Amino acid sequence: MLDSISLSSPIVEIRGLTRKFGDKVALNDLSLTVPRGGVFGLIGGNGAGKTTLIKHILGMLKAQMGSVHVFGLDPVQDPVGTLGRIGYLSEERELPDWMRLGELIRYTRAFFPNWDESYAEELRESFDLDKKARIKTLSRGQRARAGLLVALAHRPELLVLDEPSSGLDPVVRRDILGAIIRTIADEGRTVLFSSHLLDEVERVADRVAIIHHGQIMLTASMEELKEQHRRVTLRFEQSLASPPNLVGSLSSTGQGKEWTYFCNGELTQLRSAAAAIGATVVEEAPLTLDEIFISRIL
Amino acid sequence: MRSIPLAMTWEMLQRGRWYLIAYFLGAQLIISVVFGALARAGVDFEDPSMVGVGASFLLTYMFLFSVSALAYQGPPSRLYTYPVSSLTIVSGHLLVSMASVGLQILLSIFLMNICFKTNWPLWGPVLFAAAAVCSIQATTWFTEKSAWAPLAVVVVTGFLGFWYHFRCGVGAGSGRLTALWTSVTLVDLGGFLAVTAVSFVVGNIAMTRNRCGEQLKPLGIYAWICRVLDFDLDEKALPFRSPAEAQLWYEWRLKGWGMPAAVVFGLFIGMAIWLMFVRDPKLIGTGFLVLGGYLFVPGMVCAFIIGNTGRIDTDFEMGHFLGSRPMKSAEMARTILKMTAQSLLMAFSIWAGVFLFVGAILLAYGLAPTDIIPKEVVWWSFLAAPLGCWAVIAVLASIGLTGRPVLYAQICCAVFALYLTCLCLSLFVLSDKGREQLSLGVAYLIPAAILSVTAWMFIEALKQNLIGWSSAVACALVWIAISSLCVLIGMQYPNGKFVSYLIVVGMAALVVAPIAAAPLAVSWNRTR
Repeated sequence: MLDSISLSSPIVEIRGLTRKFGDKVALNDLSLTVPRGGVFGLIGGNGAGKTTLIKHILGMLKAQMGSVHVFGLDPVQDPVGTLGRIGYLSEERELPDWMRLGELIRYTRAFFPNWDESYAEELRESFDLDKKARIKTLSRGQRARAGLLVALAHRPELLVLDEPSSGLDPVVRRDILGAIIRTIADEGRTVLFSSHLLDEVERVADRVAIIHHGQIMLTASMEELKEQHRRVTLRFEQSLASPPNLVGSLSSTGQGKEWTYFCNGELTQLRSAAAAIGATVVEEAPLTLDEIFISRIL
Repeated sequence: MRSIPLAMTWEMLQRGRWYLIAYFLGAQLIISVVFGALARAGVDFEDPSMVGVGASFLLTYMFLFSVSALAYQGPPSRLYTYPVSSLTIVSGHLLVSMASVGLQILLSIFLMNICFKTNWPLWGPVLFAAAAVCSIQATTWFTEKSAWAPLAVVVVTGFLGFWYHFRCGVGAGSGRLTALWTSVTLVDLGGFLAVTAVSFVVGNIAMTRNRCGEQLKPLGIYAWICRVLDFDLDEKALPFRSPAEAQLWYEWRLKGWGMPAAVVFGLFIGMAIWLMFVRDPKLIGTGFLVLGGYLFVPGMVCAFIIGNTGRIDTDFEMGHFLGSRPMKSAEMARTILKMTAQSLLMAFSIWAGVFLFVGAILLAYGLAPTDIIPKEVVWWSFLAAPLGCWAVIAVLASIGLTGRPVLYAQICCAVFALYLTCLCLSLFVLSDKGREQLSLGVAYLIPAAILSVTAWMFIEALKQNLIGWSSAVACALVWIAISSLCVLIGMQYPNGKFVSYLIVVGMAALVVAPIAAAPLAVSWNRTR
């Protein structure tokens, strides 16, 4: 399936995407490129536009302005060409309640020529799911596992997970992370997942995009992100009522002579900037993704 | 608020005030228009022949107000965590329902008696309606989340219907309504109290059980059928050969049973009515013909089910699961139409099979063929019934497939408003000549609109590659064939007018319109 598109070409390419629901702007001139291979984390607050963006990628929303290409194809025009290569698990873990798990597997495999029966069986056993169980009788965690099973069993080129862990216990979350790792273990495959649980994103994502108010605020690899964002604590000679402006600072807290800054920039640059405002760096450390996210959107 | 029951009642009335007003005014509007027309035609409402009409309209009031009561109160589950007993929740709901329905009926009868001098009795219908809504509400709670719920509601409603019927009919055995519920006897009062008391007890048992997250224990009939028939699809079934086959299976399992079930249900009800009230073998054939001719009525309900691709019954917007199937929207629409056709075919096959079987028994019993199928029944009605039924279901389902319930409601309201406007104009404003011109105008306008919209849909579907030219040409040929057949049949009748032919040609377009409408609707629903 990879022959038609160059291996180096991005798997998802979005340019100038704008979407409005009535007066509310859900996505505002958004551009994003998801490279082939690896795990791409999409993080953002509630109502930031994550699910709307994913719906565009799946062809469930038509771009009002701009363009969306998945595998180089328009998902609205060619649902078979795109959705046939995507495994998808929605936030609501929407599955037909009336089906038995065995029926769900039988039904779903008809849509995917690459369906791997033995892999499906392996997943079913590892997720401890009963084929005869009706979907409506499954617990939330079992439902998520069933959704994962049918999303993974055709070994999709792109696995899209929308808030896969929300409301789930640590065991199911581990299964989901395991599924992500399993998917990327297959060479050339890509995972795009949105999440509120930033520690999870931090653990598995290679690249991250922060979406806020329908716009991408930042896209970078995890390594770049860690290198570029630091927490520095400065000591001033005199007590200050408010912190002085530090070049590269995103936010700050503190009182008196000691103030802590969340900064974007190289460490050497930050040291020079601190010296310029008459302060000395007493402590510095890389930021967690959680801190980066909060300092960026606040 | 001084107490929780008072707060509950306030909350219910607060959330239901617009329902109450809308249903009350809507019911008055519909029935006033009909009675206005009858009054204008010089009908005497106190005439004994109007008893049946009065009883039927009182029943209509009861139905509408009961629906409004059940709708505005919402699910009681929102009150489960409140520090109140189950009996308080039950009483809060049932008493409010009884009071609101009783009051609405009382006001309606009062208004009708003043405006149209109908001389309808007050207390019989009022007390009956209050007891009836109470028993239906308790039944819905008792069978909550159970597959038996629809059957239980039908049985209770049927029991109430028979009670009302017998109480309104002095000559009940003849099946004709001959008197309204003019006096409330002690037996009546005892009956109302008994039904209400049983409803409170059943409601309390149900609420106590539902509150704990339990539901009515299944009888295990389905599991037994599965065991007996070895009905285990998971293990035995072969893989689907194509996505379309899988999708057809999905649609059939989810919605395809609707029409066959409606026929079976209709046959049972028809048989019960015949056994109880009619018992004349010569009327069995007529009963079958009426059932076949009116299958489009349950078809309208099935169309709502078929047209819903949403996650839940009230949300027609296509969900993620269906929307993310790697399948073209046009193919998805085709499977839905195919399932509809199969469902309809099965329904009419059951009807025809049972009719033939019963007909054979009646012939053996000594009845003449004309006693089974009256001479007035023309051969082409056996073609028109399934085609008409198809057109009704497929067109309504296509509207539903757009996933826009507001559009559905707007179309229904617009049609109803137009109908009411025309009715009011012709009854109260226009002269005889003006009325004739209005009828003629409407008769030209409707087929013209149907043909224009159908043509536009085919052009649009072709533009969007949702259907191919071969399908469009095939549909055109089918439409021409049906229209030609209709015109040929019409020419046998001496009084055939051009406008009648135009109406028939317009209606024939509805048979093929869904072929373009359904893919357009699915595509519009799936990608927003």
